[in-house]
Amino acid sequence: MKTRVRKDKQPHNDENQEDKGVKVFIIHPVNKIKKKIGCLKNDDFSFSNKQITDASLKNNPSDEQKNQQIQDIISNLTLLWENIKKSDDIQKEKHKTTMLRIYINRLHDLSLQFSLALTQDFTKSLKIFIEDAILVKKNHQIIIQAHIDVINLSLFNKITHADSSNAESLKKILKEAIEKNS
Amino acid sequence: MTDKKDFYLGNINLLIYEEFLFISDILSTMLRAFNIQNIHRAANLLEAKNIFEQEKQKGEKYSIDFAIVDLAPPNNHGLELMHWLRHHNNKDIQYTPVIFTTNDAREKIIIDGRDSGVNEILVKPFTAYNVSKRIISIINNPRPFVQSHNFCGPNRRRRVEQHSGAERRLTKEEDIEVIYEDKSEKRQAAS
Repeated sequence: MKTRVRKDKQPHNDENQEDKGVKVFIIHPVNKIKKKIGCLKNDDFSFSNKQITDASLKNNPSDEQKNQQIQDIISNLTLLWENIKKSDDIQKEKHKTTMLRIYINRLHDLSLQFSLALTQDFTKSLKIFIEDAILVKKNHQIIIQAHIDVINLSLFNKITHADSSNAESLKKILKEAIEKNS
Repeated sequence: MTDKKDFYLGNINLLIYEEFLFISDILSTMLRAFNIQNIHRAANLLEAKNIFEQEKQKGEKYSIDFAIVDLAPPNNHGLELMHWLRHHNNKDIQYTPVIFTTNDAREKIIIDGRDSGVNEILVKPFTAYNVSKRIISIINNPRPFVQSHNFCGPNRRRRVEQHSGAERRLTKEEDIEVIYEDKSEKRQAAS
């Protein structure tokens, strides 16, 4: 094993240098962040408890903002899905399927960020299902529609916990739709 | 977390690549509470690449010190950005520490992230505690950067363990070169 202090060059970009034949480089870069923040090499950086608490408090948009975001995305998702179902040749409209995936992913982001456990389960299930779904297939459409319906119901009835009786009913509806149409 | 030392993060330049602006807002608000003020935000791949290069051109003071990159499904542009970064011909851009974020904790996603050369992986949601832990890790425990024919990025092995079985590694010791950018680290390693 060879060791050296770096001269200013890139291992793989220098073909005619002494590096020829060497297959693996293990580089220890200078810790620039420590230098910039004034932390000595052997010191450990940390955040103060106050900083963590302050950041936690700020990480909380208002209920109005949260509801607005969810509302916007669910409306866009529902509209787009209606549009896709009516489409004659969805295979050719790739941007629509891409947008559908983006909306589902965003809804999943929001449900995670706002601790909406039941919606999380549904958006995760839909996100995974849609990866291999064939959107022109009627049975796949029914499964996607069932997901969108239970997501809507969970959000607008504010069913956040995944283990309440209402949540169980919605999960059952979705499960049956998946089983019947798979 | 301790109250022992306070370091000033006001000089740090950070890039957030997150296509969903609302989530990007939440994250930047949290980072500002950590005193990170120079936050660049990119909502698409091209913007992210431009920020890295433009800030680097302005000089050391402005170059991006670390990045928080979302997987950005469905096209997974985050992985594309990682490939671009880890194969960049400017070593400062190439070695930029990256915290990779995703809302999908499936094994495949985590492995793809790790193999793309990220430093840390953060599964959403963002909490102040989780974000702070990843930042602390990239500052206090930078892993050496490995460059080989099939991987560019921080060493994927986090633990050094003694191995008692048969030697199955394909790379011979003489084919490994260790490079220290900081002379004092080389002296330390030698001693």
